[in-house]
Amino acid sequence: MLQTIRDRLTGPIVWVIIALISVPFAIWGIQSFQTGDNDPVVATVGSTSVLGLHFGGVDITQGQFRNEYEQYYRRLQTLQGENFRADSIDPVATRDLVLKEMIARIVLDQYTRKAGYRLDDAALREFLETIPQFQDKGRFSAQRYREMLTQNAMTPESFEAMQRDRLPKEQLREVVLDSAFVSAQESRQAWQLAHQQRSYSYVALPSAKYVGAVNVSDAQIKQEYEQNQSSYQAPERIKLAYLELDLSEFAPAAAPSAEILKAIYEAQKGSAFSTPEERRASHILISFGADKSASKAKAQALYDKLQQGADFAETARQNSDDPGSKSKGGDLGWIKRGTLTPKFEAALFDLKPGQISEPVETEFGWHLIKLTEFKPAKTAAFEDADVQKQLLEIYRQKDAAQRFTDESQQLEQLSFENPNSLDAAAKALNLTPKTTDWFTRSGGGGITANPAVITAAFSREITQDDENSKPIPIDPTHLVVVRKAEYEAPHTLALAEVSDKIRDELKLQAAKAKAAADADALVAAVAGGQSLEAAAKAQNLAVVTPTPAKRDNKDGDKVLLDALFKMPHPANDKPSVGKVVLSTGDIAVLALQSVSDDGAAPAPGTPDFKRDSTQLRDAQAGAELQAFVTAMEKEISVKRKAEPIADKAESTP
Amino acid sequence: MTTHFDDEAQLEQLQRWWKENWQPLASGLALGLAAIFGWQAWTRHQDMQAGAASHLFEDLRRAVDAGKFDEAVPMAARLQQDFAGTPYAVDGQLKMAQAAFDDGKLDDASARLQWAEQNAKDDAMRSLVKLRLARVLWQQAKPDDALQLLNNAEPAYAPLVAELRGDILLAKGDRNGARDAYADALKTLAADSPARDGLQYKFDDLAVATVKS
Repeated sequence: MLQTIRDRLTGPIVWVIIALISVPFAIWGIQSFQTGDNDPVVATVGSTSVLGLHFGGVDITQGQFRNEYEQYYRRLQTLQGENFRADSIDPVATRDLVLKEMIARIVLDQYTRKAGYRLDDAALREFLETIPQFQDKGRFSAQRYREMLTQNAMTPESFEAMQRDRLPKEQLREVVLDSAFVSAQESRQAWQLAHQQRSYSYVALPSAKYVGAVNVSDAQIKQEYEQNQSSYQAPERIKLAYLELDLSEFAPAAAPSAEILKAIYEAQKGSAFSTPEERRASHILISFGADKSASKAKAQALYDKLQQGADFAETARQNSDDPGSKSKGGDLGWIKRGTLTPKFEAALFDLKPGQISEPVETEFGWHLIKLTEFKPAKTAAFEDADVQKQLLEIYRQKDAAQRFTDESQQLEQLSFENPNSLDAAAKALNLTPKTTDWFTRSGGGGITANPAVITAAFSREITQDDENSKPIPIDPTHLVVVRKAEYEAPHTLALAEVSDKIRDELKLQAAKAKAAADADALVAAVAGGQSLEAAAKAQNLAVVTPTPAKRDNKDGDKVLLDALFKMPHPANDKPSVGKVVLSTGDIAVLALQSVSDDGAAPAPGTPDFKRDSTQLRDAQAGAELQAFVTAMEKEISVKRKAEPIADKAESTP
Repeated sequence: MTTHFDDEAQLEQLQRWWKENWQPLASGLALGLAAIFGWQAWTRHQDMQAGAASHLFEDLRRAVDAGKFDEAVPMAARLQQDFAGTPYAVDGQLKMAQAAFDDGKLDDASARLQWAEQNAKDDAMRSLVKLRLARVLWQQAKPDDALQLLNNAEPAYAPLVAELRGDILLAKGDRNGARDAYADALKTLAADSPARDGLQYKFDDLAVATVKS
């Protein structure tokens, strides 16, 4: 085989083959060889087909898709803030949306290039010159341009390449948007429709009026009950017996002997009953400045002057480089150990009252420190009344905490060892068993509002096995052990329990049916030529005639207004008539007397009309662009190759 | 197994083959290189043409928006003559047509859009031009020509085409036809489109009684 090829590789055939091999390189470019990594391709957008081979498509990989998806997800989270709920996102639809957006972006990109939209250097320069951020005193400044780009980690080359890519797409959008138009006739029609007025009357047929006239027999109730038993279910419910251990309700322990209090005092003297040493300091700061040794010399000179009796506060005011303390004569206030930079602190706590330190070096510069006042460490005496009170309090807290721990353990053990009763634990711990009210899985008041209690209450151990629960913490110093007092499994409610409810429902249904029948009769009468007033009077109903309505009326029933503007125009001087279910659930009969465009006489000169015309034109332009972009996708081939996966973002809570 | 003798023979064969064929090989390589550079020169030329046309188009647009329609006329003509290979020739006509239409020069607008329709490079653009041309024809009191033009529209333009068809039919007095067209438009229009309310008003205003007693 190879030999055959070699034999034929002579003469003109050779260079034909080599020429053929060269061509794809020119079109394709070397980048096509670089996609050797393991990121699978989700979709390929755009390609040129040459002799059945595809060149120049852009791949969207799983990795790129995942990034985009996560960005979208985070945007959504930020946008919705606290209202964000992960389970409200439909993963399939969202994946599709994100991928579609990515594809649309590339399609626009490819179409723009393929159609031949370009930007020349002069146009790029003109664009750069209009950007205010690149201007200095209203004119483009090359220096400012470079500065701004450097600040944003870009070079002129990369920025210009970006704009060369972006601006033709902008231009294409603008071409479509900017050249759209609508006729004056359309503007007028839209204005008239938006400002149309409709005169109407209506008769409400409230169900409440009909309820009194309806009778529902017991047989009907029974039939409804039997046919729809699934709607008359009572959920399972339970009453709990429980023992409660609550530290806040423990009786305070009796006062202990003085020895015990003394022991506590000794243990806590260092922390609870003493105040550490505090020193009040002033300082003069000399910053290092440009020349560190010169600053040291200056500090030394000031020190010498102070030694000769110069006023420290005055010297600080004139020479200190610390803006915070300078005006206060260098005063830094009271200082405890551990709050200032260590070298400063070491020097300060070495001084005697009134003494001034030699220059001390810290990272801020040279300090001259003066100890102005001094409070030695102090420890309150055991006999002090306040101390006695605090000691008793500490003792009682410790005692109660200990008892709580002990009793918790006892409670747990006893209720576990006697799983079928609370009595043993109650007796041993001197607790009174309490009982809750009935509650369902949606919980009740008191301890039954606690989710852990609810979960335990409806667990198998409690409802079926009749055992005690483990101790359930309500909070760290409050716990309960519960068991079943009474339990009711879910069941169908007895007819007697629900017959009143069913009666009311059936009555309302019948009332609505009657109202609807009356409404139909009214509609028929008016359609037959009777006036709504006469027809309503015959049924003893009142007609309401509000002021003529516009579409944007804020008052009145929205449902009624919507129905009104969907009614046919009145014809042959007869009102058009229809019925509508109002938002209250009541039925109403609606008669449209007349439609008027007079109140909306086109006023082409007015600002409102102009604004609406512009809006109409803009909406048309937007819709045209959208159609254009959609149609574009037909010009650029899109091949979906794999299902996009976004597992990472979806599992983010 | 290859023997020393075989290798030698092969080498000799190769040398002979090279002597006989180096010329076609070299010319093939030269041809390939020429193709590469030729292609690059061609794309560069295309880019320059497009860039110049782009610039001219922007000048045209600025002139039109500044109300200097007469200044823009020769620019549009130059785009048509010298840059017919770029999209800007059609784009220039679109912009000119809009200005002419808004100025009441319907014949001018119509002529420009007709040229654009014939010279549009793809269906996406051609359908857009047709939609606009139909609107002009309607205003020129040629509703039937307009309706004719709206037949067989690209699916992407369906809601826009259907709405315009409704408008034209309504103006002709065909209320039923108009209502059907508006219904089509509502069916194909995106649910969140800002054009939806206005379209719904048009449709609702043509309501007919469903049941007559």
